[in-house]
Amino acid sequence: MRGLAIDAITGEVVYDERPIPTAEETLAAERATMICSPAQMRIVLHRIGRLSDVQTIADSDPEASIIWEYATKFVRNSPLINAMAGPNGFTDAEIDDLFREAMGLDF
Amino acid sequence: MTDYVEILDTQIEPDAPLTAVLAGQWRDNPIAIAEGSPGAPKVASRALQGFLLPTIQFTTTPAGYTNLGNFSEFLIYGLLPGAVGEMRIRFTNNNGSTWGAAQALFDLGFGPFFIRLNIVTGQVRNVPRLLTGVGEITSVALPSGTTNGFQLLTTSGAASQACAIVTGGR
Repeated sequence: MRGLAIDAITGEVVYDERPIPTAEETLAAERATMICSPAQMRIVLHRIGRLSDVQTIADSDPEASIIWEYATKFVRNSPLINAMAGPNGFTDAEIDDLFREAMGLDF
Repeated sequence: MTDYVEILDTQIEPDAPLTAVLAGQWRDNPIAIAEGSPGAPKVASRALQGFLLPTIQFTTTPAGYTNLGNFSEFLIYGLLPGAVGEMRIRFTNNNGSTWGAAQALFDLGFGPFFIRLNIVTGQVRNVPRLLTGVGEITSVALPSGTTNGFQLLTTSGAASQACAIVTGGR
């Protein structure tokens, strides 16, 4: 695939043969950039009244509990965050929204 | 904006008088050229000290520039959003009809990069990381003939962004 090329003199796009990403690919790319601080995530969970739910999920596993307490960042595509999903936890879409809101917090 | 007025051959032929009009054209025409006035000759791109090329986004699908035959040196700066495997570059000598094999420059996670590239000599400077198992990349192989385009790409990860400044002509 030739990809993209811009004419340096005219600034015109000579060709653009980049594949158009599917919705799944776009979401996967966005999830790859979802990183927030523990404080950001805790505030978002507190505001929606689910902080204790996540604490319960974390406490169910010793390593998850350590990560929840001491991690310096939370990454969307990580085992701890994926453990938040499930019948007693959050949907994938809800977790995505948590990260989007958390990453927007500034203090 | 200053008007550009063409100086006619009759104004400068032997024994032609030096008039105030002619003197004014000598004074004003260079100004008109610099201002890009209508009718004034355009400054050739090879005469420019440097200018900024449009920003590109690239992934495992390459993106870059063509019609670089008048230029030699570039400062490429950009941002990698996360782990992208290897940062690579490839070249063309036919303005993008075909491209050579991609060559690795460095492997890097998140962060900015500033690279100096010469498409006449193949010299590369200021790669931000050592290429694993290889070391610092200071040169790349160029195609035969005149290299007139380059593209950037990565081997994995989200889209990276870059912008190039032309810093030297041929």
